[in-house]
Amino acid sequence: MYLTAQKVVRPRTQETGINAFYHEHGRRSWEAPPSPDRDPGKLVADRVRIDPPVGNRVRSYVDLVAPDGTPAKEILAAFQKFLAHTKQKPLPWSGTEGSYLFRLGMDAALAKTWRAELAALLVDAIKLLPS
Amino acid sequence: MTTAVENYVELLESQLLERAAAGGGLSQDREGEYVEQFDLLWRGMSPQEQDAVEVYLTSELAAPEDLAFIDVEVAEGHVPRRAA
Repeated sequence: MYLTAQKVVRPRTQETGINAFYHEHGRRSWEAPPSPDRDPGKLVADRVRIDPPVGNRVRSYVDLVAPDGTPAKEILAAFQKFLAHTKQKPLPWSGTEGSYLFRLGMDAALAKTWRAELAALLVDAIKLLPS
Repeated sequence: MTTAVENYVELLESQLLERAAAGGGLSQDREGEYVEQFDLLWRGMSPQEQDAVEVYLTSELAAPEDLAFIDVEVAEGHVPRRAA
């Protein structure tokens, strides 16, 4: 699965919101997670607050790639490990953690309160996971 | 960062991620457990470590002014993505 949430701003109106997208790869295991840029999987669900989700400036994003069916708790436990060894570096962050691939980026203004921003992105992303 | 400071920050991030996994909020009982753990860790720290936690939590991360991404809808499969 490829789960992504991104805070976007519409340049003309400055309207801001988080759009989130959930894709499935049709695989419950893999040796290495696929790059979502080359293989995002099939779009299964979305939550679009800034519509259309085209041509807007991205201010922050989180990408979570995991085998289909992985529970949110497991994804976020792996994400915490990813955080532990990347958070000393300048944003954006990107890396793999076992079967998972994570990316997080945000602009300088949002980076001042990065934990709150990350939480907002993750909440909107996780809501799209099948229960 | 000392182990005590690391533990405090890790607990904070653990709470943040658990809240996200739960859709944004935790039960009162679970939040209460976190408060107890935070309190326990905080009381076990020296004043210097407590100061270090506050400095660490308010320190700014280096980040680009602008990500230079726009969201784009790729025609094939209509998969929304980012592009520079």
